Amino acid sequence: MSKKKTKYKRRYDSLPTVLLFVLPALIPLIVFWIYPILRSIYLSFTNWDYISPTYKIVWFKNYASLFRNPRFYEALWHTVVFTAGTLFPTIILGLILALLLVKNFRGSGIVKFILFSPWITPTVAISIVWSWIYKVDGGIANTILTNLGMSPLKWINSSDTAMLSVIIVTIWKSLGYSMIFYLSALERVPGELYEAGALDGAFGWRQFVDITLPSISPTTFFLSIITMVNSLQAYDQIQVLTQGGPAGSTRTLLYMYYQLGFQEFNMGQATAVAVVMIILTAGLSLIQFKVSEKWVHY
Amino acid sequence: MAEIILKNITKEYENGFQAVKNINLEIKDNEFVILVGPSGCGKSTTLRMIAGLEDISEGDLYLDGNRINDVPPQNRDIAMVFQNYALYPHMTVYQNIAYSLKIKKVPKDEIDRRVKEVAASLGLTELLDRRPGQLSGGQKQRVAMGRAIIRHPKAFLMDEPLSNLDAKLRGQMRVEIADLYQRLNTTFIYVTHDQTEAMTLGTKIVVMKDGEIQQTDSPTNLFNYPVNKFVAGFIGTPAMNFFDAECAEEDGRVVLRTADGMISLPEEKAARLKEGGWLGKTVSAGIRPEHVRLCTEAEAAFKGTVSVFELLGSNAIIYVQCGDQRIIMNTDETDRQEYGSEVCLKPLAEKLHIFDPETERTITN
Amino acid sequence: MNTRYSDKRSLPVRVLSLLGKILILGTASIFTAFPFIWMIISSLKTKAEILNTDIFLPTSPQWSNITGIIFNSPIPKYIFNSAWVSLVIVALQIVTGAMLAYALVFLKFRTNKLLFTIVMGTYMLPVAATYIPSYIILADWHMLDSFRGLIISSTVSIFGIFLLRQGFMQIPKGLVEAARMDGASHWRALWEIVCPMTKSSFITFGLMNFISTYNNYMWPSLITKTSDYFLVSQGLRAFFIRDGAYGTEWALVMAASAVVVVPLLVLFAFTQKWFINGIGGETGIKG
Repeated sequence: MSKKKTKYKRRYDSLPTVLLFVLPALIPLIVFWIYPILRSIYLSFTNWDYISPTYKIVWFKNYASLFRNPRFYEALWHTVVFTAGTLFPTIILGLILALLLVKNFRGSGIVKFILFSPWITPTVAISIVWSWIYKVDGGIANTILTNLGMSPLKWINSSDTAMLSVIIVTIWKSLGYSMIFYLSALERVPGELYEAGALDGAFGWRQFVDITLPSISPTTFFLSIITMVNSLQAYDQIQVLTQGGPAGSTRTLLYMYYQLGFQEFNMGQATAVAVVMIILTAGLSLIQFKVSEKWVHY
Repeated sequence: MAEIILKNITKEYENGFQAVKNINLEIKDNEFVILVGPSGCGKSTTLRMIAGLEDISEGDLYLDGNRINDVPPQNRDIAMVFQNYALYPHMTVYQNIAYSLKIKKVPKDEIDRRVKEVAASLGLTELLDRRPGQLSGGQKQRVAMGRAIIRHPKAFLMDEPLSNLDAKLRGQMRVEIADLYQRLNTTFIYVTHDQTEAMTLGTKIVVMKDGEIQQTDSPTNLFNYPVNKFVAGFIGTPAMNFFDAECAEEDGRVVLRTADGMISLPEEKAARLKEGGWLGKTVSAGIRPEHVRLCTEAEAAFKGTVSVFELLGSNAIIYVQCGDQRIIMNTDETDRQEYGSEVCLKPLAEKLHIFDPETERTITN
Repeated sequence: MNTRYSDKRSLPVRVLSLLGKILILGTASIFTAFPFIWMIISSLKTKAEILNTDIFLPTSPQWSNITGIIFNSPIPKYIFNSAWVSLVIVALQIVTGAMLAYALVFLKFRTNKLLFTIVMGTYMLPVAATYIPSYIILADWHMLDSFRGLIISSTVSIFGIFLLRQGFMQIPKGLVEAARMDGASHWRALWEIVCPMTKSSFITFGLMNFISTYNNYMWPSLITKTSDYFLVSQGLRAFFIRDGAYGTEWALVMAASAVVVVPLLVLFAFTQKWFINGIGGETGIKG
């Protein structure tokens, strides 16, 4: 570090210090995140089958066959249904529960504990429990339905209800998470806002729409992105409950990726699906960011 | 022991903004240097560059003859008192004061001895087990100073240390800092925007504006011989009165023609104006409020009406509106002047400051 | 909501809304708690009882189901595997995450913003997209089917970096500067000043990442094939589908699930406030 005459080349913290602090995280980040993403993109242009030592660049052949494959569109549609089917209930129900729980009362701590507890338990364990609940003969879900005078369902054993079953488990699991986020957001809405609103005559529903909703809009925005990303990546519950079946009715893009990559070893096709997922996630996030400019008030 | 030299120091940010422009400053051992100026003048940036908290874009910084541009702050052996005290909230007062010694691996019993010594000298002995959250502003201030003192650093830097205190406490702490300086015999560099602090504490004052040093001088010289209009206006309260006047020669004497009369100048000032070829031209003149006198109509340089009268006890401030111009007068004649009453004013000619209206630099000092 | 006024609605309306509140919260609680309760009830039933839909509670609790799992099954080993692998991973994640977050907040260097953008971007990407190349890397390093492979591929938590960064940004810059003036290196400033001041962020980080690593399924199940290296989720699933027979031993499967889940619920009961405050409060989502 000799005399620095060149402007903008100077730095205040010496390079060794910066590297010391950055590299321990940056190296793994590059090796297990950034490089794999780039590598996935590269592999999606090849016909590699994992076993053969050599492979050819086939350019867009993987994508072309993917886009001609009805299974792909099925999986895409399932992904959309699954994401929408988990995103909206999780957020809306989470907000309703948070609104009811924001004022402490006797027992509110226990209710919060119960509602959040699914989130800390392994998805595999609770999915196994749910598959027992969903059991067509002798499962408690059907027992309850029969006792209520309704006809029993085939749950995860029918392509008509399998997706619904998986969605129910996912909502059950993630509801507490969104509730907790909303709780702390509601607690931080400044009391003066309500007082000012009250002076302007805002009570009840008006108060909720005009004051509460705008104040918690950043949380709604954040939750919708997180829930969306989580839903796009849901694997554990599908693997345990349905393995993508019956008849592919719960096969999402991620599950298709898993089957192509780790069951069929069609790495080119699998990484092509991965790239589609990356683009989908990035695109949806971008849209949310754009839309959020209109309704998120920081 | 510390001699600090700033040579052509410039601070330029990535966006091209120059916070400090090519400043030169020599700080001798045991000086109490004040960096003073309006906010955004670069005084804090300068201090932070000396501390090592801000990098130096151009120029050289020397501490006892060694260039320290690239020495990280922890190796400069300089202590700093921050504006918001920056006490560690999770440590007790004792731990806060002892932290720097702990880092230096000073033996425990010596740390203990020194902490107690410093605490006693600052009246903190009772508070050693408290945490910063339980202290008042003045106590926090003392802890922050204790943390700096205990290290016996080469120099003390203070960044607006009193700005978070109320007026009464500020006066009290000012005296304590002055006392500290007398006891410690070390170099102090002190940043403030408050010119009272500057005048009362400093042995050398550096007035800055827009990243440039305007004047470096002793408090008395700064007050009596400001080099330009900015310094003249910045130092002293109430601020100096400025007015435009025409320089003329009348009956062989050099005079200033003002709106309502004229002022004849003492010989030395007259000579300067003559040499500078100012006769017949308009100059910018300044007079401190304490050098304005009430006078008879014949002597008057200004005539106006009293708009505000502030009695401060032993003295009074009178605001006089003279046409477009407001002249402020600081007088010990404390007889109440009624609002709206007509008065005549004259400046003490020997106390006049005369500036070039273009460059705003002094002509007569 | 911090409304501080008396409720001006009429009595019947207030009673109705209270009943509605109890109804909704009660239903939600029962719906949420039921699978856990049913899991525990089922785990105590005999083979005959469990298939008989008319029996809700076991006639006499079959504690041997539970002790069988604890003493005569690989489940405790999987729990142990999960616990220690998660501890190591979280410890590494805390160190790497704290250092990177410190660099992002307190160090000045030209690529600071770029670095943050990269980290931020990675947060939004589907992790699964990295699995195939990561798998290949571990295969090349001969680390498939080993604890080493599990640990080395998870030494960074992007969520954790965000959480800590958010906490660090609350600290006045002057404090770190004061520490530097006191002679502390950045390393000391991080662990002696910044870390104690953001203790709650660290605790939340540790707990949340411990839980999610402990429960992790997809990635560990892709890279480990030998039951010696199974984490608990994979082990439980293997136990569930062993001998290719689903649902022949439901009571035992429920007992195994209970043995896995109940300790986590207990851990959660004691650490609840860190999750609740940490998730909503310190991830820095304003509003």
